Amino acid sequence: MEVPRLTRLRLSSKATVAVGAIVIIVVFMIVLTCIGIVVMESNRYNTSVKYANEAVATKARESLAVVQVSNTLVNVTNEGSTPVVVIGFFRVNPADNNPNYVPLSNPVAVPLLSSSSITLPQATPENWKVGVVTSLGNVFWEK
Amino acid sequence: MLHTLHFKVFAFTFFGEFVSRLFVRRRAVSEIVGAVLVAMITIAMAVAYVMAGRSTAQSQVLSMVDLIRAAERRQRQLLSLTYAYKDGSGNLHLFIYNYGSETSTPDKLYLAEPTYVMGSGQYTFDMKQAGTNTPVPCIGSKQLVELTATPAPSQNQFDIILTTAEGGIFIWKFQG
Repeated sequence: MEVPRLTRLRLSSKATVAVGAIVIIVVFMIVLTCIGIVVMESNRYNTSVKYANEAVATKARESLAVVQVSNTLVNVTNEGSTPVVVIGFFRVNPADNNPNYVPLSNPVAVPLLSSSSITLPQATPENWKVGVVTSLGNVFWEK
Repeated sequence: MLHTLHFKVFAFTFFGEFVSRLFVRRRAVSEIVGAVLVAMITIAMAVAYVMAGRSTAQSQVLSMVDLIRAAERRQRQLLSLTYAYKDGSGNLHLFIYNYGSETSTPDKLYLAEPTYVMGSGQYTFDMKQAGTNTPVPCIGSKQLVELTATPAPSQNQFDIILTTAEGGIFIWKFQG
């Protein structure tokens, strides 16, 4: 009795191996791509965390001594362990305690263990309280 | 008896031959076409499986990427309360500086007493750039803004809780 030919309708073993191999390779590449994307984003996140931690740590190391020399001149001394950039200053009228922020058009860098004189853009009475604002968000007031 | 058995064998053989002719020999489908058909079905199923897997993996990876990027944006927001005071009109003024690299959009402001009750203490506020008094919707990187909340709490000591649209939460203590 003749064997029905329908049973012969199947892929050869080589073709099956080829199709299986292609599927496995494609799945492997998809998995690899997904892992690569997640790892790349994770690295970016780690970089951001590192940047934030460094900024917070640097901010904590800032320390300035502020002395108002005259109506238009303030002397700042870096007493901290990191260079500081002064971007503006507050001046507070003691009569009402309302502050007035004046940004500096040219931020002043104060290197480690050194002093810098900052010319105030607006004359400030010497009885007003003056505080300088750094690029990391610290405010140091005159003592 | 023998005649009957011979008839049965004949009938069986005839039936088998009929089925064979009906379903195999008369299908007019060559072995090559059948093989191609099976190959196509196999490949189509493989492609469908791979595409379904790719779609699932893509959606899951995109979800993870969105979460990571949101966390990254939160990390890049660094707000510092540089000065705060209550004026004579009962308004609270907050000078907030963004020393991070991501723009922050203040969303909700809570001024809470020592014991915070969820859902209470939310204040409306407006913002302007410190120094120029230009209204701003958000706090850009390296920007100092003055945030005014009306009215300020009557207490001289409370917590300031600021949430941003980017998912950041910042808490400061106010001592008047």
